[in-house]
Amino acid sequence: MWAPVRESMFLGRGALKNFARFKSLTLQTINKQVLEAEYAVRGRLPTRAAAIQQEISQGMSKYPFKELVYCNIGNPQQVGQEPLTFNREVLALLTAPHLLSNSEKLVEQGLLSAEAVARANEYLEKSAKVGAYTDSVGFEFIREEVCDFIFSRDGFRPDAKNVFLTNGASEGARLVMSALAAKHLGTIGFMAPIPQYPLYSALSTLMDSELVGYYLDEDKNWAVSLPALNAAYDDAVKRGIVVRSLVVINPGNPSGNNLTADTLRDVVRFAKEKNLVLIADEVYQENILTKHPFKSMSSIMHELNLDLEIVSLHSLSKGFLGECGVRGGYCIFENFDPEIMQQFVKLKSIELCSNTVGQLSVGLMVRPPVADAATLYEKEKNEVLGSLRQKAEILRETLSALEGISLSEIGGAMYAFPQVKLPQAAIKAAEEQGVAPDEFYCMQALETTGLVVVPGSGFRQVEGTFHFRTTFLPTLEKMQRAMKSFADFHNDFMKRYS
Amino acid sequence: MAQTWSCSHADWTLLKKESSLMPHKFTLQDMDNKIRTAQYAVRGAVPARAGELQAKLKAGEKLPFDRLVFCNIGNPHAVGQKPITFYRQVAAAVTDPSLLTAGIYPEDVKKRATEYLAATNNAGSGAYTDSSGLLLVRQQVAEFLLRRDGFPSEPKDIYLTTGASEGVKRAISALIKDERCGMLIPRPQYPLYSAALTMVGGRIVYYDMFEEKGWKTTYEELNQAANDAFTDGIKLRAMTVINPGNPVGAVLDREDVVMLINFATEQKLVILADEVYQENVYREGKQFHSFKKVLRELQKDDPVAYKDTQLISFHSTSKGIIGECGQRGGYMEYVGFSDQVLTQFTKMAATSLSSNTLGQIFVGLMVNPPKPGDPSHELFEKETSAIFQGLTRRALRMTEALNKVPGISSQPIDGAMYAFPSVQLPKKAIEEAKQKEQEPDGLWCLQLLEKTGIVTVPGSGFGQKEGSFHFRTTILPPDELLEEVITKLTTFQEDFMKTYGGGGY
Repeated sequence: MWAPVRESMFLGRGALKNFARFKSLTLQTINKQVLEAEYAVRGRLPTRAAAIQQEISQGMSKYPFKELVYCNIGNPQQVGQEPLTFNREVLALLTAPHLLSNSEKLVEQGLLSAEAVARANEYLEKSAKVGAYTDSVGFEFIREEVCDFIFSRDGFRPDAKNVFLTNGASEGARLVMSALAAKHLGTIGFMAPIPQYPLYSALSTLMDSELVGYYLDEDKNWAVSLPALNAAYDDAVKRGIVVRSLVVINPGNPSGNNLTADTLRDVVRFAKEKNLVLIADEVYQENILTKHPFKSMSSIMHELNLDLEIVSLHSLSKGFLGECGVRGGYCIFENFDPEIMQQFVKLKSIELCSNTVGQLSVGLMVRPPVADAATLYEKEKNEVLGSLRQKAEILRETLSALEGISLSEIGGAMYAFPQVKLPQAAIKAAEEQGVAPDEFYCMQALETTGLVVVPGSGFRQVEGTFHFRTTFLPTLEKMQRAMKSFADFHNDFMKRYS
Repeated sequence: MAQTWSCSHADWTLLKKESSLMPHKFTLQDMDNKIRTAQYAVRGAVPARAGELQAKLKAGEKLPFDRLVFCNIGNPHAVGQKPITFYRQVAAAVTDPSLLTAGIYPEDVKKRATEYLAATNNAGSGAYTDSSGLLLVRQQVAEFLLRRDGFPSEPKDIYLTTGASEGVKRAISALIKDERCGMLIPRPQYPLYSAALTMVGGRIVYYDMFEEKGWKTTYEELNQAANDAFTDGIKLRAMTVINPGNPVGAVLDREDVVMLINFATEQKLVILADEVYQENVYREGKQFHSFKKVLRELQKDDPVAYKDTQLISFHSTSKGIIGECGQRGGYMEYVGFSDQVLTQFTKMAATSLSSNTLGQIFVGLMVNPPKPGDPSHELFEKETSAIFQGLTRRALRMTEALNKVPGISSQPIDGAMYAFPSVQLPKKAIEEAKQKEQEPDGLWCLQLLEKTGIVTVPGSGFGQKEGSFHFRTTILPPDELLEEVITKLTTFQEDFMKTYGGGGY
C-alpha cells in the first residue's frame, strides 16, 4: 500500500502541519512476516498465567489454588532446580577476578573449591576477560574444549574452526536457516517434525519460507519414520517447494523420543539422498530416560562415511545444568563448502560475539571437574537427573491412568506430550469461543488447578487430535500435588462435556 | 546525496536455478542474496589479516613489530580499561550467592545483589526471564530516563536486549515490509545499519554528513535524499541517527536534534536513535541531548504537530565508562507505539526467549550506579573519573596529533571512542589499489598494519564522500601505547607519501 504523495516533501520547513494524520509504524504497516509468526510457548496461555500470578501476588484469592505450577517452559532454575556449584564458583571468579586475591581464605572456609580457583586462573591466563568482545566465533580455547568433548563422546575430533559459540542453540539454527532461505531459488522449505519446538516454524515464517512438517509416529513413541519423511518431502516438491534442510530434534521436544541408532541411520541417509542440510538439534542429549543411549547424528554420519552437510546444536539450557538465563551454546559445522563457512563467520561477526560468561560456561559444560570439585559435582548432577527421572515417572503414572488420555513413553528431554481424547461437546464449546480445543482445555486446567502447560496446537499435531505439553521440572512435591489436582480436573472435565 | 541499490538478479538467478537443482553442496549460488551481500567491515579484511599476523607472531615469526595494537574496535577492556569494581562484585554475588555471606562484599553490593536475585524470583541468573527482560531492571531504566530527561518513561516501553545491536535488528526487521521499503542511514555510518537493512532486503538510502561542517548534515541534504528515494519508488520507513557519532565522533547540538525530529516527523519516518555513546562526551561546550527529551519538549510546545512522531532509542553496556562489551547488555525504548505494535515486538523478542540475565543486570547497574554516601561510592567515583578523564585526554591528544601528520586531518573528537581522520592519498596509491581491486583506504590500512602492527578500519567500510579516504581508529589504548601509535603512524605516513610520490592527489 502506498501512502499518497505528500506535498510536504517538497515544501521544506513549515511543512510540519501538512502531514497525514496517522503513525508510521502500525499493525497495518509492520512487516507481515512478523504478524504471521507465532510462538506459542510464550503465547496466550502463559500471558493469562502471568495475569493470574499478578493477582495472586497482590493477595487476591479468588482462585481454587494458592500458586501456579509452571510446567509450560523448559526453564529448570525458575522452578527450583539449582545450578551446579563448581560452575557458578568459576564464573563468579571470572566475573570478579579481584576475588582471587582472597581465594585461599575462601577455599578454607569451604566457599570455593581449589579446583574452581585453578580453573578460573587457567581461563584467566588464556585471556578470558569477560568484559571484552571476543573473536566473533568465540574464545578459541573454549572451542578447543568443545572439540575434546566431541572426541571423547563420538571418537572423532572436529576442527575448532568450525565450532561457533552462540547465545543459546537457537542462534546456530537461525544462522544456517537465514543463509539457506534463498528466495531467488523459489519458496524454500525447511523440514521439521510435527509436533515440534515452535522456534523452527517461527523462524521459517520470519524468513518467508515454508515449514515442511513430517509427522512423528505417535503409536511408536513419536518415532521419526522414513515413510513420513519421504511423504513430506515428496509432497513439498510436488508443490514446487525447494526443500533445503531437515531439522531433527533428538531427544525430541515435545515428543520426548530418544531416537535409536537405526532410526538415526535412516535420517542421515535420507538427508544425504535428498541433498538436505541436516540441522541436528541435540540440546537434550544429557536428558536420557531410555535404556539405549544417546547417539549424535554426526557420529552416525561418520559411521556411515557420508559427506553430509550437518550442523549440530548444543546448549547450556537443558541437560542437568539448566542454565537458560546464561544463554550459552555451540554449533558445529561439518562438510560445508569453505566459502559458505566464510559467510557463516561473516554473519556471526555482525552479531559481534555471544556473551562471554555463556561462552565460558560452555567450557565448564564440556569439561567437568575431575579433582576436589568432582565429588560434589557428581552428587549434584545425579540429584538433578535422578529427580527428573522420578518426576517423569510420576507424570507417566498419573497421566496413563486417566481415561481419555494416552501417553507415549518419555524417552528423554523434559516433557510429556499426552493426547487428550476431547469429547465432541468440548470441541464444539471451544469452536464457539473461537479457540483451539486443546487451548480451551488447557485454559480451564489453568483456571481450575493453577497448572500452566502449553496446548498441542502450539507444536502442531495431526488434524483432529489434541495434545498438551507439560514439563516435569517443578519440585517433586509440587509435581505430585499438581498431578493430583490435574487428575481431578481432567475427570471432571470429561464428565461435564460427555 | 542519496544512493540507492537496485538488486535485479533475474538473469543470474535463472542460470543458477537450473544448476542448483542438481545435487551438490550448499554453495554461494544457493545462498540468500541478501545475506550474501551483507557486509560488516569492522570485522572485515583488515582485522582478518591482523588475525593472520597474530598467528605468525605467536609462531615466532619475525615481523616489523613486536605486537599488534588493536585500534579497530570499540572494545575497551581488551586494551587495558579496567572493569568497575562495584559492578563486578554485584555480578559475582548474583552468579554465586553463597559468597554473599562470606564477608567479602560491602553492604551496598549485597543489597543490590539481593534485589536482583529477588527480581528473578530467586531463580538466579540461570533462568530465562520475561522476553522483555527483568521488570526491576526495566523500572530502573525508566527511573534513569526520568532523571536524565525530566520526562517519565514506562517499563512496558523498555525492552532489554543482547547488546543494542539486537534491538536495532529487531526494529529494522519489523519496519521493512518488502524490497521497496528503505531507510535513511548516515554516511559515514556504523555498518550494522547497512548490514541489517541488506539482510532483510530493504533499500539503503544514504544522507551525507559533511566533514567540513564538523560531520553534521543539513535539512537540505535530508530532503534531497528523501526526494531521490521517492523518485526511485522507494518508501522510506525510518531514519537512523547515531549520537554521539560512530565513526565520526560528532555530538549533535540541540538545534540539530530538533531539525532531525522535524524532518522525520514531516516524512513520517521512525527515528532510530543510536545513543550508546551518550556517556562519552568530551569536548568543552558539548552536551548530550537525547532524542526522547527533545521530542518531549517539542511535544509540550506543540502537541498536535508531534502527535504521531515515533522514536526508538538504543543504549548499551558496551560503551560509556562501563565498557562491558562481553556481557552483551542493552535496552531499547519505544516512544509513540501502540500496545498492539508492542505486542508484536514482544513476540519477536520471545523467539529468542530472553537476553542473558547477567547482561540485563549490567544494564540495571549502569543506569543505577552507587550514590554519594553508599559504601562503594568513593571507589566507584575514583574508577569512573579516571576512565572518563583518560578518554577525554586521549580524544584531545589524538585530534591534535593526527592533525600534525602530513596528509591527515581530523575533525575534533566531540565524543564516542573514535577518530575518523581523512587521508589524502597520492594518485599512484589510488591506481595501485584499483589494480589490486582494493579500496584505496583499504590498501593504506593494510600497509599500515603490515608495517606497524596497528589495526584500523578503512573509511570505505563506513561510507564516505566519493574521492575522499578515511580510516577509523579508536582512542582506547592507554596513553603510552597511544603515543606509540601516533609515532608509528606518523613515520608510516611519511614513508607512504614518499613511496607513492607527494604530489598530484
